Amino acid sequence: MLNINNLHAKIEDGVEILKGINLQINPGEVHAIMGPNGAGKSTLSSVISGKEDYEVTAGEIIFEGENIIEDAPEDRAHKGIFMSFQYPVEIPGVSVTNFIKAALNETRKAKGLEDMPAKEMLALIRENSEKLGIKRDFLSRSLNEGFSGGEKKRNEIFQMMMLNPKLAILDETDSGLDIDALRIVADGVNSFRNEGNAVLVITHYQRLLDYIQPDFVHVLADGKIIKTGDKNLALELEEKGYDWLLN
Amino acid sequence: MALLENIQNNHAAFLETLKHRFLDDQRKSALHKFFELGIPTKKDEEYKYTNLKEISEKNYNFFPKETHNITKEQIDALHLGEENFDWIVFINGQLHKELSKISIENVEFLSFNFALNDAKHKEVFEKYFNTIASKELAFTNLNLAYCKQGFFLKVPKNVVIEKPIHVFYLSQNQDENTVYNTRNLLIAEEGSKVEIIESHHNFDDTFVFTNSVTEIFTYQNAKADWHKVQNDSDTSYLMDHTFAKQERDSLTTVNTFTFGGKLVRNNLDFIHNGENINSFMNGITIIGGEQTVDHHTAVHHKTPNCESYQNYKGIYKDKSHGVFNGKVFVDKIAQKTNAYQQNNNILLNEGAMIDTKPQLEIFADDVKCSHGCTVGQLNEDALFYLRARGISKKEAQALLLYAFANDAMQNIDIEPLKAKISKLLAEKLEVDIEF
Repeated sequence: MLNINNLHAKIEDGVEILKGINLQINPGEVHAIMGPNGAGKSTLSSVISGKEDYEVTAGEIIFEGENIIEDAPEDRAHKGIFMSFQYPVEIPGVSVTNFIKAALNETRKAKGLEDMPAKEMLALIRENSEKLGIKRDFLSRSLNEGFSGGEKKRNEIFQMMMLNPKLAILDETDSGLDIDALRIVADGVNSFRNEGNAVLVITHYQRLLDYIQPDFVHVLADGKIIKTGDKNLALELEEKGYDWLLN
Repeated sequence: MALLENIQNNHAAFLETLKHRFLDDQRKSALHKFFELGIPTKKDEEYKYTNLKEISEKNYNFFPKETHNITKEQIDALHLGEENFDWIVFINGQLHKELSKISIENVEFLSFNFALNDAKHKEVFEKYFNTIASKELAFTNLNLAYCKQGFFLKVPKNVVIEKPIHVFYLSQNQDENTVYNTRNLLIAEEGSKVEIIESHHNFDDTFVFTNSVTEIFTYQNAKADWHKVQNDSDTSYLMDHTFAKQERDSLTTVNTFTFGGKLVRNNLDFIHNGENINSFMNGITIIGGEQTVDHHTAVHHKTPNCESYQNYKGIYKDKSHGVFNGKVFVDKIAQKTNAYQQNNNILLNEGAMIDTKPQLEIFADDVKCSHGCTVGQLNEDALFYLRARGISKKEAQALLLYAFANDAMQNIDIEPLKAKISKLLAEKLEVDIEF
């Protein structure tokens, strides 16, 4: 599904952060990316989702057979890429419901479909919000405004479930979550997983990976993936830190 | 200058068109005063950022053709989309009762023209007319010299007018550029409640210059809301002066929504005459092309324990130009004043411009006064967030701009009006979203 070949990227007019990333994700897989601060983890997810602050200087990102490097963020979303933000933005004046309606219908429009009928939309909203323990009045609040860290992250996963992407990138989804919230979010992600989609989890902490078990764990350091293993690698990192890999 | 000549040359003929001449002396003095003051130029502090040359260099007809061929459908299209309002329609300076719907009873409603021509309304003129409008401004004097169309509404004690009243000022079938000096008078007596919506529409390609003066009197425990929906054509100029005098325990709101008009200058003046007064001034401006919109507001806190809120939001595209000057005056005895002023602006591209100037003159020492002016662009992170969810760049911008302007709509309790403003916003931003 996703093939990243020799990806180099830098901040516009700045330093090179990604120095040759190679990564392959197949349908049905869960990949985790860990690594020390400043390694480029968030840069990688931003570049995949199309943030315009970064410039790709070499390499390609092939998603479902197409190189998406030139695609606008909304086009990548339409093709089925979803990123759960580390710091979801507050958007006062736009309700959660109206936002998700707009996002869903824009994606449908891009595929040549009509808007989702209101009844179907409401049922879907109800189903997914119940799964995540999100109360009804939450949905009419302004997007992320005044939400706690945990509420913001839950809202991200709610959007993921509503939009049903092919590739879900979870950027530090576990930061700011207590155990209960973590479990709820993980349950949401696990219920979303199937043979047709894939999840890329970016995290500092092993903890999340207890609940969302990865098939592959990659260590990203200084702009490159320096080691790949299975879920046991995460446990090893938890125990030993990153030093043994960097030296 | 063309306009000046027109003003000079037409006055005598204008006076001849009036049936009752009891205002003649006032009108003549006003004309004289207008020429003394002259049309403001950039040297005038209050017009420093707004050039009126394009208005004054044109020639105008002061006697509009009364005939028109505006269809019912065309008027329907201007409505907010509801049946339970009342509406008053002026076309080419004349009140058209047959196109209006006035179901309000026990209130004194008159077209200004009628009131002027009927000597028994002389009392109104003595007690209210021109008592709070400034006598030191060029355009208020011009208006006094030439005013003829407009309406006068007196809401008696404790009468609550349930339905908003939408006043339409339409101009059509004019081969020449035309001037309308519109005059409105609203009196809300003790305990009364009234809401007015005002809009102007020029159907022709020729220019219309509307020079409007409105005086609002709100008595004890009364509530008066006036919503100005300014969405006129590219060949329209609007100079609006609105004066509001409030007695104790009253609430007056003037909301100004500006989307259309080549050059629009709004002047609001709120005068407090008692305690526990609340004044609200909200504005939403979205303009583009080469439009200019200038909002000048002023609140005079003369008495203790009063509150005023000014909340103006502006969005500027293309080469448009916005000006905001918000004044708050707090007299020495006006302790426990709470005055809040906010002007936030977003420039959507290079070439758009905003001049914003808060002006607070505070002489009391136990007050809460705040002001804030911001000029910025859209939050890039927020834009990316929306786009990463599949919302196109244009729609993402529109959502954010709507959210930006939204809090200046909090004071609208007329749902159809809120919906119409949202719709106009979407139109102006060129998106097809239902907010």
